[in-house]
Amino acid sequence: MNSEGLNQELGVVEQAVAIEAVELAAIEVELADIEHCCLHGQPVPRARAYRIKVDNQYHEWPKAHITGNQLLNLAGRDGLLVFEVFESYRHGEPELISPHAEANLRKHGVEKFTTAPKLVQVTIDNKPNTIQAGTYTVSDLKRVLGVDPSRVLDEVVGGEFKELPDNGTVHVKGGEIFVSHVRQGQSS
Amino acid sequence: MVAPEQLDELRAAFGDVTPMVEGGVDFVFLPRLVLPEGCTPREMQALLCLGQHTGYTTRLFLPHAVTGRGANWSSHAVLGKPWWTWSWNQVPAHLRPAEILAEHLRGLR
Repeated sequence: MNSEGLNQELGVVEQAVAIEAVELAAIEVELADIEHCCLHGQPVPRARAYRIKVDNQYHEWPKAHITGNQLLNLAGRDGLLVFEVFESYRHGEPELISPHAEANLRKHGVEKFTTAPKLVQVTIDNKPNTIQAGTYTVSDLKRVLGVDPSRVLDEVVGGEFKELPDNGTVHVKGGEIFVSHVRQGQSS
Repeated sequence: MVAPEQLDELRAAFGDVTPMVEGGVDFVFLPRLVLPEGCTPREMQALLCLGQHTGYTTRLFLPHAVTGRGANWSSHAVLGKPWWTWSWNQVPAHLRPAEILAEHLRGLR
């Protein structure tokens, strides 16, 4: 790297340090409890950490912003099945936070966060069925869809019937078409 | 006659399918069917026979025999065109057309 590049990099670092210093100088309290602030109609102060309630469990978060994915992780909802996270207000409807969107913990009126299964619609044997999005083993998917374990389950994708082996997995996003059938055909 | 909701199920998967009748037996023409992996060719038209035909409970007719899959391929004139099918029996006619098709395709895996 030449000296001009080095100077540029140094400038970026200096800027980041300056922003960090301003943020540190602006800290008003060690821990801000957003639920307490909401319940008492107080603004959330700048803090070193924020106490947030996710699905009735309290957590401390070191920044004023948190993504949907980070909230799901705190709630232990980052497994094979898909959950959604909502920002709940003291007054008003809960708002969905998408996985990569950031919630501002200092936003006035935010009381807590809640998670719920992400439900999607699929078709099984020509009937609509609502299930949780996510990755299933095929035998679990049969159970969730109410398909007898002895039946073969196919997923229809782009004009192709793909047989799903019981020990395989399938990722359900919504809109999938499944057909179950009994093994009856045989070479004659 | 094929029930409209059963045709809709096939339409959701294969697009513009056409019900047909010959000799009192119901057929469904599929303009584009993707065959199981390993079949050559992979894509072709298909004619699903939903009733008894030449001693078989139901049949799946294709415009060409599939190389290396299915046994005892034979040619038949159906609805004025030559079609090919293989020896695969005991898929009952009382099933939904989508189930019948899925079971016949299993015979090409």
